[in-house]
Amino acid sequence: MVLSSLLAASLLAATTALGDSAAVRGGTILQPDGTRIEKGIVVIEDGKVTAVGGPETPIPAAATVLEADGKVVFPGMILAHTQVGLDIPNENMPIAPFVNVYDSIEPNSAEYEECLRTGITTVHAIQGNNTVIGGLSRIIRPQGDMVEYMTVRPDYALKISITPRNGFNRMTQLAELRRAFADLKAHVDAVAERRYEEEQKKKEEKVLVLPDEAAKQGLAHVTIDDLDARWRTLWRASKGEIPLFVHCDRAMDVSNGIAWLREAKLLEKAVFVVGTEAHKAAGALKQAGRPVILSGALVHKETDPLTGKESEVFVPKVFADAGLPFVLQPNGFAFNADGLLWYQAARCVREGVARDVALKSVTQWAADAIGMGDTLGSIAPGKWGNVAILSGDPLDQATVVEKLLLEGRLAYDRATDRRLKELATGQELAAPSAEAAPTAAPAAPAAPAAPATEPPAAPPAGGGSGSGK
Amino acid sequence: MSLSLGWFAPLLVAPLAPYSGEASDAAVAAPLVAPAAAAPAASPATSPAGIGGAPRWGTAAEPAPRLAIVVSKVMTVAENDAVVDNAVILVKDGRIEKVGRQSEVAIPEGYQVIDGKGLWAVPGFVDCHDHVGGGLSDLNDGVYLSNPGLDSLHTIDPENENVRNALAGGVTTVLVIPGSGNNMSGFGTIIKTWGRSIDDVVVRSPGSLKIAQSGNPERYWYGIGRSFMNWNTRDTLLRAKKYHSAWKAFEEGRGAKPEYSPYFHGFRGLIDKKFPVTVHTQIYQVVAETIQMLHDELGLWTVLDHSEFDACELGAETAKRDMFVIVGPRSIHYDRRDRRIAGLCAEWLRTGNGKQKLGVNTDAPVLPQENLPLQATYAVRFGLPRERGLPALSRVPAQALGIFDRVGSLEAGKDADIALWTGDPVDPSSACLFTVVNGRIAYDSKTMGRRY
Amino acid sequence: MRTLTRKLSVALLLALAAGPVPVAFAARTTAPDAGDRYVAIRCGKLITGTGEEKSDVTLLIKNGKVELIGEKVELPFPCEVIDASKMVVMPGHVHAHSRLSLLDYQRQGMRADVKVADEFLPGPGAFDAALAAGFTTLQLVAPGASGIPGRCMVVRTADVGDGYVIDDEGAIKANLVNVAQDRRMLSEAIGGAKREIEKVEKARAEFEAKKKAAEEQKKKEEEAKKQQGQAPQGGAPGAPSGGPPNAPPNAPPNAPPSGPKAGDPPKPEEAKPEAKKEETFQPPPIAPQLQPFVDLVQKKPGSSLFVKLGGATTYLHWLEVAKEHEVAHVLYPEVSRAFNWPQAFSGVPGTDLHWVADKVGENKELVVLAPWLSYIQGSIDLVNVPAKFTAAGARVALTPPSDAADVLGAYRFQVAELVKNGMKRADAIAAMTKHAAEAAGVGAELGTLEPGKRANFIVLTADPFDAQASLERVVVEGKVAWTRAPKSRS
Repeated sequence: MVLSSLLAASLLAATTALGDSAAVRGGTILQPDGTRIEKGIVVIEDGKVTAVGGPETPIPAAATVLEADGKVVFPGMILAHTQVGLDIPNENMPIAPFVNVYDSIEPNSAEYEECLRTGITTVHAIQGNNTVIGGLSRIIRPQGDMVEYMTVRPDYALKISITPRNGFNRMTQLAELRRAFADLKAHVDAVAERRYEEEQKKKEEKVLVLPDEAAKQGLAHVTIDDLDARWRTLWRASKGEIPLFVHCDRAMDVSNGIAWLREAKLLEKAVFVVGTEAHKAAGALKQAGRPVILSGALVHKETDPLTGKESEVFVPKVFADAGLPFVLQPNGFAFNADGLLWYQAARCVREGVARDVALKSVTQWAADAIGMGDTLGSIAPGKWGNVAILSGDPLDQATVVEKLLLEGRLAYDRATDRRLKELATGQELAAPSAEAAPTAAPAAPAAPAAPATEPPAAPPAGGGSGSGK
Repeated sequence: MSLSLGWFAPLLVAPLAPYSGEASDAAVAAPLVAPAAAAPAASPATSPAGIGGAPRWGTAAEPAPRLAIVVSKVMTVAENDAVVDNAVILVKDGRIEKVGRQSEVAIPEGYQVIDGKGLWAVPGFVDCHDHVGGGLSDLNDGVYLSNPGLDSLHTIDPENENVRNALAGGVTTVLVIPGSGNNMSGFGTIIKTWGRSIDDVVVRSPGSLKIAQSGNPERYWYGIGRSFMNWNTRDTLLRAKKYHSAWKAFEEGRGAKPEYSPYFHGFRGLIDKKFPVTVHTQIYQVVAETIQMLHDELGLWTVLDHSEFDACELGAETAKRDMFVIVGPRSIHYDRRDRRIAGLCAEWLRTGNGKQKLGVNTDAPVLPQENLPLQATYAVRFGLPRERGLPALSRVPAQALGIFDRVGSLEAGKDADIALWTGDPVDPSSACLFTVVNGRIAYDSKTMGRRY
Repeated sequence: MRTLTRKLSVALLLALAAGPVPVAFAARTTAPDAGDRYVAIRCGKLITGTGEEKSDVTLLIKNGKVELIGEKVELPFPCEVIDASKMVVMPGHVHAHSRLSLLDYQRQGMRADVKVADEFLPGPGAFDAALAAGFTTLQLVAPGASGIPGRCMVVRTADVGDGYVIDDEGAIKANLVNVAQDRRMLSEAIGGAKREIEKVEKARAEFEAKKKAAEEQKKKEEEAKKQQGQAPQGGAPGAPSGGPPNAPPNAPPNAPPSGPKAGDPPKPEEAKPEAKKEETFQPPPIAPQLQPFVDLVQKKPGSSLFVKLGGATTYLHWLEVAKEHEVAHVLYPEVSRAFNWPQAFSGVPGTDLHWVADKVGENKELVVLAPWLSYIQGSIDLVNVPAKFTAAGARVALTPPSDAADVLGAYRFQVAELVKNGMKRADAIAAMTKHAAEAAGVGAELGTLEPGKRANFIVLTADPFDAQASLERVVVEGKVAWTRAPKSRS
């Protein structure tokens, strides 16, 4: 429809419903583990993949068929740890467990367009590497007019940084971290004591105990609403209800981090976000058995202080050789070579990492790291229909994303990508006609097609309208 | 954006010549208020001293005169957008008594006749975003990111020269709000632009809660992220809500009397939706946040101010929630996606906010208060349908602030806030010559000199 | 241009990396001269940079220069063989706008007398980053963002026996960015050079006229002598014959020659030889700042102007300058880069260069561009300026925008992105090789792999535009200058 395509100058509103079901036919289905199905068929119904197979796979009659002859069909890639699309992320308030990246996501950011253009279908937006406790994150789709439409998993994880923030040292960093948890405990104890007394008041027979005992007994009565808003997230985290993305830039930070996590009995909830030097702690990380997200810089450079000899280590190779799954992220975002996720994976192959490892590091393992390994990361029945139709191999320089399905909906189509029109045609495009535009119906927001594992945030409340009186 | 000739025609013929039809020198000399004897169908009434006489500002202490304003056209800007040609407006006790055709409405005895033949009568305009009603040094306390307990009421200065200029631009009601250097800078006050004391001018206090979400608070401290600013604002409002429910419970006999808080008591009206939160909000992310946080989560009566930059792509969302969008001081947005200059009002309309909910503001002194009508001119210049220009100046802001029962249109029973213009105020060549506030002549270009 | 020739030292054979293994191979047809050094590279694919891409050929190098390229080459003896039969060989990259190892002394004003070569003191490993990214040649451009900050130089990235310097008197760097100031300075520099030339010409004409007059005078005298017949030998005092030949005819006898002025202290020792030399023309001295421009205006081979431009408008201003004074030049316009997606409040650097693509093409300009996509000014739509320029007929040299190791390392990727987005592969290869060398003023000597050119090349595991291609070896003038080391620790 001409009008809607004019209106959809913003790709964010460009999701096109293909109907309840869609099928991608004729392409080479490439899985992260390297398996291929030639002339394969992927069927997506209600946002989820229902069938993956060869040419004989039945396609539901109602399905919209996307032809992919000669193309490669690959799962959507995942940014497992990124600030892409955030408007002024919090990177200065040190103890901020209460802030929420929800308040910082810019749905209109052109960076989300770029995600779709480069085959990324899931984004874990998280801030706070330069803090001590950096606040709650959110897993989103890179498309939608409002954060709630983008949301895949709200309030997903908490960022904790073991690496000192700018201008501080490791002693301060760890001291502040421990103090935050101590302050939390003091607050919870005080609330618990008060709750104990309140409960005692209700009883006929009152039992007086020492404050410590009162706090202990009152804890059972404490609900999250009793706590000050500033401590609620951290309380949940301390009880192991929230995954922790633990930023450890250097190997020594990994040691400190693991020690602290053990101490706090939270190691099982940790995902490590590590810098290049942390490859020296690959053994410890392997022993910890938790997901590892590598920094965008993949090469560790070091100068021997005695000989002055410079050495370079390609970090993913170290992890691959150690048999430790890792997740790649871009260095910066877009336009730079290493700002592209696929390129990071291609670099890994270039440097001798097995191809399936490189592919998994941007899909399946990334999905695992954000706790959605069963939902995302490959094209398999039951998983979400996040599928990219590529012009060639995902790690090939010349490959482009031709179409992208987001939960079975066409979220990106290179053929209608305005940003690239000049490149494709050599002609600058005129702006959409101003006359035609106002008469067009407003684009419907891209409501989630698939049943999310968790429902999106509450729909807009009807009340509170400003209709005056 | 079809421009119906029917609408345009009167403008084309509207005389820009002096309304009295006399030679211009004489017109300047002659007071607009005609000698009562000359008034058709009316017997002379006592002509209050000063009015139509000495060039001075009236005082509220004087009794409100009874006026019969005779004009060529009345733009009522009522919900039905009624236009009355060759009309007379009767004003009594500070309120509009009647609006009708001269042939149908007899001017009763004792009414002072204002001869506005050739002129248009339009409602006094309403500015939702003004900082000049008080002293500019009182704008903002800037101590914390959110400052509950501050109230712009205490800054109101009715003798303010800027307010007098407003009268010369036909602006009769403004919402005076504190500045936007921090997220929550205090309550706003709705005032009339004419009066001698704070009591005279205040229409409603608090008029609104001012929240600023973008543009200036980022500079607070050494730069503060969006997520903390918004958490802090939300946290303050949640505390206020908690405070309100405790009091409500007490008042309904369900709980103990809470401790009075000077910080949060003012919020009770906000949470009861007695007044709105007017939000200095712009750019897409921030306006989306305004919608999702203040409107959806906290359920506040939310009015968008500024509403600039790419935020205009959110029209569908505001329309869905029936929200008012007040645009200004910027009128245009350079759209890098489509490489064009987009009129903000037209964009809001295009993206879905089409339910007559678009207004304009000045952010005076960013733009001079008297230039409010030019904001509508610009909006129309950049694509807002012409018939939405006048509502954007009067009815829409009045509705947005919940004071449409008093101001914003020329209908019987409403405050007699009337401006006489040489033509359509949206036409930049038109000028305001005569302004009535609360039924009192507040500005008469003939006797007081034309300010503007 | 002063080119430093390089002599091969046999001892340096020992310096070869472990890769090439000396072998006695096949029959030799010609007996090489003693001291000749041969290296043969078996190339799976050879990109010569001349527009040809050949498979399974041998590149034979003699004394650091390409000897021949062929499918079946009889190798001389002894000859080293590098087996790249499963690899891709292409000319070493040429960085036409580098500042590696230079002091960042931002000169202002008209300083064409400054040569960066005079400040060239590379520390150990100064060019390692460039070498490791496949660059074999750098044009070191005089720092300075306004005016004419000095003269460039061209270096190799590895000292393979004769230092780094290839050309120490390279192009004159000129800015035409701040038009109001820079254009005037440029015009004045060229105009000044023209005036200097006129000055010399005038002096020469005067000299010739004097000489002629003196000769005529002499003739007259001789004739008069003949007429006088038996005149006294040696000449009496006051006789005109005692005057210097170039003295004015009616100059007083024994007046000092025109060289030292009358008021100068007498220099008896010099006076005589000078008097003897007076037959040849002594041009008046030329201001040192203007000398390079004099060479430029006189189209001395190798002299060139390296013009840094701003956007499209500055190119139009350049055309005005070029209309007045036709000089050899290379253009280096600023292409603002699409480096991130803009947010609402942030400005977007956009380019307008594509607007002048037709003119640039029409004039067959040699243009140095950074290899990246740009935003069209005032928008976030992307435009491929290098592709537009080449398509219009310009000669484009692609060069990294900075000397940072990661930028150098991403060079091939960035060019590949241009190819992915509409630039012809052949144009891109030419832009990396032939045209880049021309832009550095050394196109006759290197940049492509052709017989007679310096054997600068790199060995890649795959096509240069393949993201998985890695650099295996860098050869500078026949010698392996860099070999890939294993990256992981053992």
